[in-house]
Amino acid sequence: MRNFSNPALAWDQLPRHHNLALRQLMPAYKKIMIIERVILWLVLLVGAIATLFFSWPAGRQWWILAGGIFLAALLGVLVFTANKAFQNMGYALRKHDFVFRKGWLFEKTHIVPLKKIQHCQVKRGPLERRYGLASLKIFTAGGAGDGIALGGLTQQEAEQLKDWLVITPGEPLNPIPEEDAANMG
Amino acid sequence: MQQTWDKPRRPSPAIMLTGFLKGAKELAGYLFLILVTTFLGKGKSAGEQELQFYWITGAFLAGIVIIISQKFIVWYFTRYWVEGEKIVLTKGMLVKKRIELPLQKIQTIQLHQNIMHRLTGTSAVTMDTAGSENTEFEIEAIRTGDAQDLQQWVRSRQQNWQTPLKHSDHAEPQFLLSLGFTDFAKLCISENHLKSLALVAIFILGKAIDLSQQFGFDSRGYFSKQSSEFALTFFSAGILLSIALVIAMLFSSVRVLLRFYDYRLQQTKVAYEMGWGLFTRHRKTMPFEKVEFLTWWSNWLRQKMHLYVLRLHSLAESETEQAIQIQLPVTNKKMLAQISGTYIPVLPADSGTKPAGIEKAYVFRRILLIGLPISLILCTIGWFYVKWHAGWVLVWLLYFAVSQYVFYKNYRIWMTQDAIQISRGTWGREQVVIYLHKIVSVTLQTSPYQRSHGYANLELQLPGKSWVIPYLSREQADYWADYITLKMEE
Repeated sequence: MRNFSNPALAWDQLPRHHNLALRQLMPAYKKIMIIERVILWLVLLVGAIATLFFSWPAGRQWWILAGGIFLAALLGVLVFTANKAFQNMGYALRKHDFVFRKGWLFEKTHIVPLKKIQHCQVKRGPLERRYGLASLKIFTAGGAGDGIALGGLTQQEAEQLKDWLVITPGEPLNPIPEEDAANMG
Repeated sequence: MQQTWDKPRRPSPAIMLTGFLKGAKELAGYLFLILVTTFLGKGKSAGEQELQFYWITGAFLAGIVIIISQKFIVWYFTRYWVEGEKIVLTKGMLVKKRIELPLQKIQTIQLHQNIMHRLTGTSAVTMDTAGSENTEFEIEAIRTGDAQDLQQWVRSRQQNWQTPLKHSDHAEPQFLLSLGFTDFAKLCISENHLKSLALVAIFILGKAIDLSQQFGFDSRGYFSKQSSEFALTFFSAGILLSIALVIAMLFSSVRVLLRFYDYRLQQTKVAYEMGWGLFTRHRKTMPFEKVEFLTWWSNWLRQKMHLYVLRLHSLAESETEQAIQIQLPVTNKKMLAQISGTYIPVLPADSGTKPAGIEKAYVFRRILLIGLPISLILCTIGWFYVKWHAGWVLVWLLYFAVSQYVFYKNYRIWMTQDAIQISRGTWGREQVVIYLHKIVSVTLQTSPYQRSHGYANLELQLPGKSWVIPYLSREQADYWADYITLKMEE
């Protein structure tokens, strides 16, 4: 009960996560990110047009101009952030864990030990099918409900990662064939 | 005699009565509204009212028949048994459902008794694994003795796989805690009365809206007229506040009574056993090894009284279903140490480790990003209605700034070789103790400001909950993320 020990922690002997070289996602994923943002923008645009149409203030045409400038600026921001976010995304596999970084303004770096992974799911939406990509969702025991989603993988890469993470974690991972990677984007 | 569970069994026929109580509760609210509308409704002749009464009675009886028939079908088609290393539940007449839970994966087994269960000597049994937020396995009524045997049997099977049970492990449980009158009084006094008052207000408003829909009565206009006619003086405000406080305290007392009535906590060699509840009684066994992490908290008043609410978190605990969470009121520090001692021998805070804190930038950023924008919006809106009186919002801003500063000063983190303890709170305190190997994953979060000034938030994901330690120095956050990762993987 009282044999508790508390030795000093060795700062310099820890494997560091922030020195890792992250693997970039497929360039086609940037297109998907931009298309998804444009779709969102279009929904906003339709909403704005509908609002203006039904509550049209007579003699206030400058509203249209202001709204147009705002939406154009918004579209520019969405494309810019998609580009930046893509550049900042990446993942790395280590013998015992999986590291995934995302976000540009608000950056998040997830570190998930392989032994804590419960199951993985490969998902392909319509846009991902169009560009030959897939997403991998990683679920941990009782962890965050929706799991961690890693998009922008080739289907083969996603399947291979899924098997590696769940079935043979820690074993050497076969490299993804170069031609598959080159065909994307 | 030891029971065997390999033959399929039906639930107790009492399921028809226990289920009826559930259905009757749902029907009662509608019935009340319909009856009030029928008998107090304007412009209806006696004949019309009589006819409506027959319709309502008929519909109510039909409702009862439907509920009982449905429960009969549930009883007839439900079977449960143990098959190899898993417990199986089959149910359904048209759509057949088979649920299998591996015994080893079962995290929690709970027994619940409402009044009908108690009258019929039965209990509802629920079991959960870590796989879902919802209850995965539920038998609505089986004989209480059988339910307790099943609970014990599953637990002993789980123990046998890990470490064979010694005879002494089955010894009589050791009594730990129950609540006396003084403890109840302390709990009632120190409840969150503002929350109680808000709940009462929401309930009354909800009923007022229901009635106004039924009668076409303008309840909003009525309240508005009454409040405008009410002359607010110092004396009347005092009376109003006193009445509100009494109502809130009464309601708080009822909540405490419902939740902690006949609360008993005892301990065996391998698990806690506890029971609580007035109308619906819960019995739960929590093996020590299933406890993922501990939290306890107390508001300002409870801190002064050394009164804590301790929660044992397991993988299957739902963060949303408060009724089934294991919340233990602990009435003294010694008991707190004894209960937490089964999870971790020495709390990190008591191990002599120097605590770390968060960075002061947290306070300024919170004021800048939350306090100032809200104050500005409120002041602007207020200006149009009350002119210079809108300046009173600055008092709130001052309070906000002070509370953020106090929160920053109170934030303490103790990191030892194997565990972390976090203590935080403004006026009250919330504490969490986590073994590092129980953490599921870690995340480092940074905003542009944090990146340029060398700060980061460290998020620790735990089963069903995550804890964010804000505004650590980047170096500290990186180091802890790496160290925790190492311990998680060991």
